[in-house]
Amino acid sequence: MAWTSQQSARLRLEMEILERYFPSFYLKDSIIPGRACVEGIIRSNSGAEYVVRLHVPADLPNSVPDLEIVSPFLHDRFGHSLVELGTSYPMHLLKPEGGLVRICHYSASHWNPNITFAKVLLKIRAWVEGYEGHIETGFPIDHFLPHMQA
Amino acid sequence: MEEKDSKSVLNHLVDITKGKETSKKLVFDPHTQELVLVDAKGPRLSPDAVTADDPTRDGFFSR
Repeated sequence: MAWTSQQSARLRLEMEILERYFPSFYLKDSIIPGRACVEGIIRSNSGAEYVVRLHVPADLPNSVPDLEIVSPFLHDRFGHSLVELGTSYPMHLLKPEGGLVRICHYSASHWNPNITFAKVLLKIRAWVEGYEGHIETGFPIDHFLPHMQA
Repeated sequence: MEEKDSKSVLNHLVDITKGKETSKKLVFDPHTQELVLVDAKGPRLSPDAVTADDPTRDGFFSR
């Protein structure tokens, strides 16, 4: 199964927006719906770099894209691997898959097809700052970044 | 006045999380990839800068 013409147009639009706001991000395996992903580097204000992978949903733009931190391997302030924390409410983490940290950003009930990859990455940009705040202070990430209201 | 040191940015995020009113807003500058605090009523940082406050206020989903 291939992308529909509307999905292909949406992917092109997403990449045009990313080129403007997150120019390091590029599309991988774009031919195959369900395997395509967008990967690039998010840099914090401290200068630390995080490789981030956004999985393009096969039903683009109707589902929430999964989002992983590919590298570095993240630990909390107390030395525990974030992967080992598993699902973590205070750290805004979903259950890891493939040994990679997955970040909770939008719930399915808060998702709408107008939300762009760039807006998702903007939230991840804030999450990275919150993560570094946790490392610095020991407060959980939800001290810096709120939970979605039901 | 712009502020982009991590401490100022984090303090602003805490204020947002607590629902406090702030005189600053957080914007993302795509040219530097930095989050920058600017006066809420001041001039735009750059034509390409976008607010990072609103996506942050939306909150993060957690199971």
